[in-house]
Amino acid sequence: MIETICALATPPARAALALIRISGPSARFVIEAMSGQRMSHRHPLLSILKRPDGAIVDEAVATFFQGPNSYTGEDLVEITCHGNPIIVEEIIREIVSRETVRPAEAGEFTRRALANGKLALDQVEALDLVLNGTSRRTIEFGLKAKMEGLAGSVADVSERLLDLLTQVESQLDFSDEEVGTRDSKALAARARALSEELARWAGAFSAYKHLFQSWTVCLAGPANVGKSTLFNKITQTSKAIVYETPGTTRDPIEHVVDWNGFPILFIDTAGVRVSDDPVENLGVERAMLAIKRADIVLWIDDRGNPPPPVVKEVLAKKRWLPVRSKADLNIAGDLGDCLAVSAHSGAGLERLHRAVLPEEAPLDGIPHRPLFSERQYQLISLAADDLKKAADLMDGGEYLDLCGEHIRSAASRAQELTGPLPTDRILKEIFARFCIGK
Amino acid sequence: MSADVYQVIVVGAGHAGIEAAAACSRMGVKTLLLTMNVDQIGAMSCNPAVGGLGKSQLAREVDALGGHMCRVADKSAMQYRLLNESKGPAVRATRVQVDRHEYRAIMKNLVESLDHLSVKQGQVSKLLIENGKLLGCATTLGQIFYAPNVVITTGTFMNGKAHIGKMNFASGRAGEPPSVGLSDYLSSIGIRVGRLKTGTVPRVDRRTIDFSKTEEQISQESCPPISIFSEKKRSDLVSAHIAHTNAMTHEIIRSSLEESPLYAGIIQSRGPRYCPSVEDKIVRFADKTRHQVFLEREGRLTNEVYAGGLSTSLPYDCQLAFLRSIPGLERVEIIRPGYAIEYDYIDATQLSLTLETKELPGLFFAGQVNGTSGYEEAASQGIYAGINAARRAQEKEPFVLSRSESYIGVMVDDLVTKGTTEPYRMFTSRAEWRLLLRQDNADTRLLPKAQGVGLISSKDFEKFEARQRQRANLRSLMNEVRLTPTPETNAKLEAMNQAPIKTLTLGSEILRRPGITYSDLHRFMEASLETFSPDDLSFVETEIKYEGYIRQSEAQLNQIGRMENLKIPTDFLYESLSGLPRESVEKLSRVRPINLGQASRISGITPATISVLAIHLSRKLRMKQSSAKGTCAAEREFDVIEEENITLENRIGGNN
Repeated sequence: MIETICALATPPARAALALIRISGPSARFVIEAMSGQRMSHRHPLLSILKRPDGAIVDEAVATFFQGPNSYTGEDLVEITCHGNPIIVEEIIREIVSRETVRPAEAGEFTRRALANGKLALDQVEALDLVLNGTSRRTIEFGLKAKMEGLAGSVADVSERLLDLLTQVESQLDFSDEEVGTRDSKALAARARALSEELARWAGAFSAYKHLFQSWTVCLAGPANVGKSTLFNKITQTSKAIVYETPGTTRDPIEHVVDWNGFPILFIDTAGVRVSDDPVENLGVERAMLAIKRADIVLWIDDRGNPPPPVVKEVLAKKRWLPVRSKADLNIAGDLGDCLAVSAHSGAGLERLHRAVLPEEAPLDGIPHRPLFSERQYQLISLAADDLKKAADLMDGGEYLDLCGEHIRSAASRAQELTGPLPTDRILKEIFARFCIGK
Repeated sequence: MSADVYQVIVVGAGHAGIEAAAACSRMGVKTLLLTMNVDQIGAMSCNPAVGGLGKSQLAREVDALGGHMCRVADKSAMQYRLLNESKGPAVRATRVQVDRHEYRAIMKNLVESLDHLSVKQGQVSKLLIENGKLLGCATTLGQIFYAPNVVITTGTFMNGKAHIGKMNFASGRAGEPPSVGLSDYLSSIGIRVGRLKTGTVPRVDRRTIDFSKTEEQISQESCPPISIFSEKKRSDLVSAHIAHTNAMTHEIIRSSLEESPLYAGIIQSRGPRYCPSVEDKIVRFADKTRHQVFLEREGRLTNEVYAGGLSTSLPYDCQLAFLRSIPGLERVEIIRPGYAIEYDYIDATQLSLTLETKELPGLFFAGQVNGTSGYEEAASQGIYAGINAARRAQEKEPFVLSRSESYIGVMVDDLVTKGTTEPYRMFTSRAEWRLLLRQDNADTRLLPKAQGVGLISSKDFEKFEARQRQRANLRSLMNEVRLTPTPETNAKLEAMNQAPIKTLTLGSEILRRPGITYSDLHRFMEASLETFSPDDLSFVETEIKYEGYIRQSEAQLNQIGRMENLKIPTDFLYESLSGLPRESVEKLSRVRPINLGQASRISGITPATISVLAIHLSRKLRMKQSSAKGTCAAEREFDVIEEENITLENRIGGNN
């Protein structure tokens, strides 16, 4: 017997409304018992929810979705009730007091949707972007990915891998027959082309992965040049403590901002200087680490001085930009390559904004629907490697049994984006295409 | 009365029946072998050969279980070929063409000489069942034989019907009567029976073939005997010949299609896709301008030649006309025409993983009657069902082979899990652990296990141990080879188109390079390899060369093994799971898989259904766990699988 689960879907805080979900075989019975009304599929009903002793718990709207036409694929009820935590708690307590109902575990509704085939794995990943995305662009991407899914691309790639595998396997299982492509060089070329295509597909991910993993901008520079003031201005927060004493900032402070639709993680760091204070020195060490992991570093100095050699060495390998702060106090305008900004007047911020943005990643040059998780990236990169190995073996013209394993592995990895590959398909394809007979 | 009481009765003495009865005999179980015609024990109804692609792996497994097929094939061999030699050890296959008359004579003689085994002629028409218990069987003559275990291996004989053109007649094999009544009886006791079709080729007179117009295919010197127990090959081997059909042949066939029972709609049942009749080939692959014809002698004392590739059920005149259009066969005479045959088979999803019927314990089915095709498929099911019938007679645990340890395991799992609607033939691509299941390591995989249940004589086991020692010696010999980066060494390497070495290198490292074989490595060795058999050399070469891949396969296997460890109770009520689609419930209730792995291979069972099952079973186990403290392996497996499922969804957080 599958258990029925129940949980609050909105945050547990006082609000006008709250949404409670019940999923599983007794969802309908539970709500019908509490409201004394018959529910029908997708008909929201204003319901007086009562305890078994007749006491009123709340006046709410309940909607019943009959499985499989629901989010989880099971019978599902959504109760929109008043958002007072006391009411919410009481409704849930009433529901889970039934023998067949228990509180849901984290993510359990989605897990059931996955188990019941309502969502594919990549769609669950897309849902993650929609729910946890920190910028408009990411959410947009997530919504599109969830609606379209990678299934189309997986089907296309699988089809071609299957074709390749069919050709290779037919040479192994039917080598006595005159079937399939006998030219292993031509097959190798096809495998290589497909491998390169997959590598391009996976490779493109790193160019736009800042949509999913925040693009990190590190504010670094000498002590007391106004990094924290600038940080607060940019993030529109007062997260960083601003004080006139040099060395105020110790731990790096982070904040994500949606800039032009991209999630950008700004890090404010301790000023780089030699100090007698061991705590401040630890802060400088952390600043250096932040510089190392940032996608772009803003080297801030109110005089426009270049960074010291230790820092320069690290910056040499990265994208970085010299910035002259407190532009309102000194001579206006840029000094050489230095970008002048003022946290007070806001001068130069617009240009800084443009300068730190990641390069617009072209999504249209990618051979398939763009990948959007590290897992997907790994799978496709490995599939590309598998195929390359297969191509190398085919060029050698030997060990075709291994070659089959590599293609099979590539196919199963590609399919893992959404689901597994049935072995029967290969033989079916072979029989459908080739003349085989003893 | 006591003389008619046995522990096991085997019905049918074809390739499956022989191996089943012989296995019982080796295990010391009193057995009766019943056949409709004792002259036909071990008859080869179709091609005169043992082994071939995907099949030699099965044959070698029968060999490793102490079976007779390979040994007898070596004794009656006409020609040897090693197929797929350069395509890798996992797909390499031996094919022995045999003298079918000698094969049958040797086999009959052997079967008659086995201990604990009686052979009798008789046609079984029904089983003796009392209160749901199997007691034995009865023949059409009213003879009654008692045994609590019966293995049915009736091949194509149940309600067999042969077709040549629009003529058809009841027959089990050309010239022999079918077995009538048994399949009706089986249906009457609730066993689901279906109908399949297969066919065979015309046999022609050797004196009427002009071999000068054909291509000769000589027996391959380097191919080792097919049985690991055969010391050497016969010396009087012969060649086969290859001819080709042409546009004229195809035209003759096309214009006679309405005479074909297949195309005239007389035969409705499904035939094998991989072994289509020549009519089928010409219709389905109209763009092919020619097809190969393998001309193989059926025996040394006969002039009959098997026209491989030309399976047909066209009328006699037509067969003669198209044969004569083939270069080399212009004046050919047919001795026996080709024909198609329809027969009853049973739905193997009624069987458990030991080939025993789930509804009637003690009743086993093996071979072509289960919907397979091929001698090797039949023999390996026969030996497997025989072993299990004997184990049951001995009141011991069943003998189960998994997909990852044998082709037999792959085939049995496929049959009982998915069933088949067309004749099932083995292919290497059916085995997901192909790299682990080679013909060269069948003995290593299965022989010790077979010895454990009493299938191997001490003499044979000594041979096996000697062989294992040889392989170990060879392995250490190859591991001891050290190449120093001298100009001399590098010159040798370059002569082999190989990159030079810069440091001291192990011989086994060099052997792992593509294009290098043990004979190349031998040039750097002082020791002689002559004392080692080609089989052992290729075995050790493979183990070294494929080590990385084999290890990878084994690692994957461990991972997947988790699913196989998740047991499903046989009385599990799938209806009680509301999350399952109705079709899934029906399929699962019918097959009754014993673990989650088997459930996942049932056709039409989706990953979604498997996760519902996994989640459900894991909860059940957890409940058990909390009541009876302590964890078992299966529970931990569930947790791992579930964890993987959950990790991702958890990222979503909250209660979405």
